[in-house]
Amino acid sequence: MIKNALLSLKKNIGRTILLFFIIVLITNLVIAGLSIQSASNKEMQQLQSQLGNDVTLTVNFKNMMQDRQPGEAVNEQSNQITLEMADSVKNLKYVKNYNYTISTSANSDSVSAIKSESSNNMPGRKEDEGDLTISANTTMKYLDSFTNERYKLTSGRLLTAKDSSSQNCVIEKNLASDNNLSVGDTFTVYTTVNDQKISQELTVIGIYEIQSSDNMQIGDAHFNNPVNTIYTGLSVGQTLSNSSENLTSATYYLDDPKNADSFVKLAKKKTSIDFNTYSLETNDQMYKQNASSLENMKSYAQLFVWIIVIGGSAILCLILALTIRNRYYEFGVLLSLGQTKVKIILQQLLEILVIAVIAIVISLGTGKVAANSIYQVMESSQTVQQNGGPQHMDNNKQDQQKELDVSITSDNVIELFAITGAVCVVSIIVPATYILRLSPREILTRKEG
Amino acid sequence: MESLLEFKNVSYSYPDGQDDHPVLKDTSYSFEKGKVYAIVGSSGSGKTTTLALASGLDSPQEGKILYKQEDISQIGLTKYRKEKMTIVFQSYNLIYYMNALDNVMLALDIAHKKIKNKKEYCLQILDQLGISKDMALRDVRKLSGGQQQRVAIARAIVKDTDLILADEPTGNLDEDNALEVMKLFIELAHQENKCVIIVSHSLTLASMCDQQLKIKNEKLIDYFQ
Repeated sequence: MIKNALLSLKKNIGRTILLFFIIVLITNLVIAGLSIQSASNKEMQQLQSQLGNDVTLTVNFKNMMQDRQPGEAVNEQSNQITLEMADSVKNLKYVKNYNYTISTSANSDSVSAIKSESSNNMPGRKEDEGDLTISANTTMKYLDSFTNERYKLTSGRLLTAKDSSSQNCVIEKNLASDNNLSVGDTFTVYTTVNDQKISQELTVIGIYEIQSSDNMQIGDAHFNNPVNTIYTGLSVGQTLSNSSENLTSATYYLDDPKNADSFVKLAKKKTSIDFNTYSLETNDQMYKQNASSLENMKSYAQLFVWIIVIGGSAILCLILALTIRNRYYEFGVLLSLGQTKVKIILQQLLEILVIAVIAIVISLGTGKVAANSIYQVMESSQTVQQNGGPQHMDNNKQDQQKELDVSITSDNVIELFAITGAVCVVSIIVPATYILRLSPREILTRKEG
Repeated sequence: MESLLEFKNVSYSYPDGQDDHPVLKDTSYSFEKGKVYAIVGSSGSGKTTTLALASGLDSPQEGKILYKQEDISQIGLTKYRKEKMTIVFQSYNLIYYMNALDNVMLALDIAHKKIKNKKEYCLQILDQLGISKDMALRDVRKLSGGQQQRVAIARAIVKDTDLILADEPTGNLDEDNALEVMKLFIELAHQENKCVIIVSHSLTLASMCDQQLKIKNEKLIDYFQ
């Protein structure tokens, strides 16, 4: 059977070449679709692990401002998040990790903040407001700036949950060098609360460098300058703010960003927090924005694969039906010699599979080029659809899409073999069955006629 | 003589509009080994249908066809065609993408005949029929009509079945080649004890056979009856 199949391919070289080019085209398009699909999947998984799985408990400023009488001062103190509130949420389902933050400003006699021009003339700035920003956290492990590598540790280490009650701190590289501070050095900061000066000694255990920052703007006050931020454990924040109960925010890191909405519903149901005053804000906008574009890309790729599979099968069926018509004669002869119908179909299948295997091997080399070209087309059409025209995309999204790794994986190769095999089986069985349903005599008669 | 193939009360008809056009009706006939039979008649008389039924390419609507007293539908038509009989067609029915040798060997492969030195055996049979090794390895379409028919006969002989059927085997051949082919069939019947059934419209060639048959009133009967 193998010998006969090879002989047939060799003798019908025109048909063989035609089928080869069609199958090469199909396999290239299929592998392009598959690799775009898997690249989108992979990217979504990465996004899920990197972005938007956090929910923050904060004061609902919108409601707070609505409740305020005209001319009335905003009482921020009375609406602060308490440790009790934050703790009531941390053990809920979906919460994988959490971080409480207390932000306050502080001064120091031994450490000078890095000055920004015009900062001393900022309108509305209180005299007792410090030049340094204290960011007290349960742990630094999940802070966006560090996980996104916008801030990078250059020496020492970051604060962990174990440092929560310590006087350890992590400072910025420029602040450290301007004040001749290095890991192991100590300095004192102080705040003034209700005319009471509260001092806290801090020990430097880590120094970080800012790679890029969303916060720093020209003309910002130096207390807003991220180089003046000192990261400490939560207890330092409590000491300096003179409150063991109040927090600035509580952030909860969920097991899956998809669960954000369910988590908020659960918190509303299971806790006694007044959600008119406070709110749980899901920070999944970035994820939703990127995920939806990737979802679209994935579903386009899926649709694309289906179109290619169905279209490719139809074209192959048609061509094989036309060429098999010329093989009535051969089928009739084989049947008259006692060959079974199954073996006749198997020989046809073998012929097409030999071509398909060569086509697949070639498409493994050319598939990536096809995948990238098709990806570019899909991406641009998607941008046009989303923006109503080729408008500017935000930088993060653009970077993220540019980096989509459209490469061929081993899973793609297995899928390609399976899909091409299925297309070949359908393309052979449909026209062959059409002929072989007839009796051998009818087949021979048709050939004769 | 031993009956090899037997038509027993066989009926067959074609659908013809709303009615059926009968070809054979309750006909019985017995074919023996060692004889050459010729079924003669004009076009449309039903002789090719008779051969199609005898070769298992089609089935009768009524009655049975027995091979060595066993109903061929019980044997299985594919198995019957594969192992019990061979057929030679007017248009040779060779596989065009194979050479003569491959065509002959194909019949052995399909029949699962285990023969030592299969290639040599097939070349030897082809040589006996006047097809040299050089010709046997040539593209089958480059052989003459007479040579192609000899290859088709070699393909039939190589299986070494007791029953050989031939549908107008000399129809595309000139007189000399036709005579050569007829001699081959007669030799096979008389020397190898085969049963050869030939369908032909030529009374001249039919007269060379041991028995002449015709289809009259939907019955298969002796020609001179």
